[in-house]
Amino acid sequence: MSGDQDCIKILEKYIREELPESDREKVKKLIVSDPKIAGLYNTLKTLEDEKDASGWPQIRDSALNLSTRLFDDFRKKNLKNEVDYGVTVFDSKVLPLPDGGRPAIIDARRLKYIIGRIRLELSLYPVSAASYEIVGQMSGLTDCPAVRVVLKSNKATLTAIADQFHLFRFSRVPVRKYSLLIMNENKRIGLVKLDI
Amino acid sequence: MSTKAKTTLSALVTRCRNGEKKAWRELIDQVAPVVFAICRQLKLPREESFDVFGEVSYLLLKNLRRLRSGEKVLKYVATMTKREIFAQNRKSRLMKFLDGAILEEIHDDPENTPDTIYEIAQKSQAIMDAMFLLPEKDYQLIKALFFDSSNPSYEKIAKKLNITVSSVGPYRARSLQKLEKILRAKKIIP
Repeated sequence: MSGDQDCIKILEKYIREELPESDREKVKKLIVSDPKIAGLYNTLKTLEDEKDASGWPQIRDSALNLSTRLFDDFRKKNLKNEVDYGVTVFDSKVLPLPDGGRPAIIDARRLKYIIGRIRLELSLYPVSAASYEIVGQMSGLTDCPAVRVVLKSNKATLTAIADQFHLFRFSRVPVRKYSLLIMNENKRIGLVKLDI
Repeated sequence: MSTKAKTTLSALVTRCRNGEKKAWRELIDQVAPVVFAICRQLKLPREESFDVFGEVSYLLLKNLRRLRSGEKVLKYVATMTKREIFAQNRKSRLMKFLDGAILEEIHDDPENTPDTIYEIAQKSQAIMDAMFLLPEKDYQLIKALFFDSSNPSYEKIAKKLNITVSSVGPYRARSLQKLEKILRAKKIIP
């Protein structure tokens, strides 16, 4: 059995190109001539390729983070029986950084929500250390000629009117937690929680 | 799919339907690699890959109750990933078209044809399906050794699997042999 384990270690190094050239040639010949080693090599290579293909180990935490938020929003929507409660399906803030990368100080953040049939995309641009410009795009709205978007926090309420393309903008939004409400005339048709 | 694997996936789906967050995370841990493998092989940038992942996760959560059986979840995820990628492709082509590229000959990207997307999705799904055919401990071991971002030590793996540290190595060799048989039977390897 320890022979098998040594074989596995050597094949793993071969696949990762960690062997010196002379050893690589020997291993290559073994793979060609020994069916048992060839089978083990093919299995290890398949697993390594699949691991590399997905990049899963590097992005796992970010993906789980995003999917957990999605789950929490979905649960809130169902528990509160609020059909217009927005579910977060994308937040650029959770994306993994390359090794050694630092988060940029000046960088737009992008969020996407699904609210029933409505889709909401937000882009947040830092204006100062304590405020952001928010540009939003809604789609999937029908029979909604006069849509207002309201940002409510415990300190203030801000309102923007969406244009004919359902685009809206808030020029300077202080950093804090908000409820973003989408209003069609006086009826609420969408609600998302936004933590800037 | 082995009875144990069916139990694992089906049990996870049932627990998710009952609102268990921990089960959802475990389910995503099982199926998300398929999504990202397809995206990465099609050279989707990071943001777009996560875009696709978010949409697919939403659809999976929304349609959990409609899945006829838990073991179909991998196939469902692979199918939804393909659809989302197609949708993104169409959107970006439309943008290029509107961007004044009307006079350019629009070449089909040979790496991103529907057939290529289908093949890649099928292969990733097939590998995951093969792993699910392993007995539970073998599956957990292979997963820990190849797909766990924390790179657990043999000590941690041994504790998780309730085996001795000295037996992890031999166990790995046997698990790989079992997987090799399955991969060969599925014609994933020669």
